[in-house]
Amino acid sequence: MSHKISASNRSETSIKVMLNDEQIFLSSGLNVPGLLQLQNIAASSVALVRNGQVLPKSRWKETLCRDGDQFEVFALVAGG
Amino acid sequence: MSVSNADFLRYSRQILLPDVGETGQFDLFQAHVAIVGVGGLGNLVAQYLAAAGVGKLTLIDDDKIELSNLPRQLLFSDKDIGEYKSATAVLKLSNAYPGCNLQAVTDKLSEHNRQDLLAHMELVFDCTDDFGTRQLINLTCLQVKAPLITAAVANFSGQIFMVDMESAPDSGCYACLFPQDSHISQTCQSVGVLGPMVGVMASMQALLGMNLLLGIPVPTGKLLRFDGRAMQWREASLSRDLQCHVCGGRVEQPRSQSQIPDSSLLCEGGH
Ligand SMILES: [Zn+2]
Repeated sequence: MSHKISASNRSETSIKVMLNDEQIFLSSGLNVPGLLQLQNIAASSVALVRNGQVLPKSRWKETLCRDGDQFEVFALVAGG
Repeated sequence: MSVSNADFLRYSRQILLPDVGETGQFDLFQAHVAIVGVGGLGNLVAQYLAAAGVGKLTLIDDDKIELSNLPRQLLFSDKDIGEYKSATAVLKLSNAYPGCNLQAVTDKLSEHNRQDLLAHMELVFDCTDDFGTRQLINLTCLQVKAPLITAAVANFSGQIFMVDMESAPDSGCYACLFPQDSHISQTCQSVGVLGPMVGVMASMQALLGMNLLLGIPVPTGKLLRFDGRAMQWREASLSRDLQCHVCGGRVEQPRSQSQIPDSSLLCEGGH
């Protein structure tokens, strides 16, 4: 089942987060890996900032998306 | 300790800064800095530091110069193709800045030489282009307690931050942000890069490093990312990962190498 909730059919359990400056509506209770999966982002190649602070990968699973959260997701760059 | 008349003139625009002065210039003269990777970032960082009067620079890279390097590795020209990057850069910078003592290491930084190469450095710059070496530099800097300024660039994305477990342990290390099992989707070889994009990141790296050497307070624990299309910087606070395989087990432990895993456990990336 999808956690994505269309804008026209928002329930009380819907929360709004920002992901790389884009608004997304989610059902509450979704964790960070769930959010990435929903957005088709490969978790292994990105780092994540939540509300201005890097969220270490070991804490992704336990971290639930909350209404108003601002996420930045970016790919690891290794070029020099 | 004093600065000679000729040097006073040469470095006058630096000495003029209240944050620098003769004392700061003298600190630069006394510094020994390692630059790992003498590609796009390393070329520029090395030139800035040599020109500014940093006393001793060790340039480490086993790569040889290729035609496709020339648009962004500005120390090199066509006739240098096939030569070692580190040796060629040392030759050119020694000619241009005879006051700087430059040393080339034409070996790849590896398990066998990493401790010897990076011990006693006041500062280490990670300018490499492969993830495995980045992990190895991070581990070694932690062990030898050298501050590390790491930058990376590919496509229109740049990233830079400082790792210093001495002054900012809560900000963690390189592996706290990018664990060893991370996958790299962007390298300069696979997605390309524009020269000035490298220049922006190298300038930030050199500036941060010089400020550090000069004792100018630097913001610690800050990850800066640059988007070269939108011309936009973003910053975030770094976090230590208490389960980090490199620094995580060392929380509230006295510094000892036994707390740090053997680097053979780290991935050997590269391309
Ligand atoms: Zn760490």
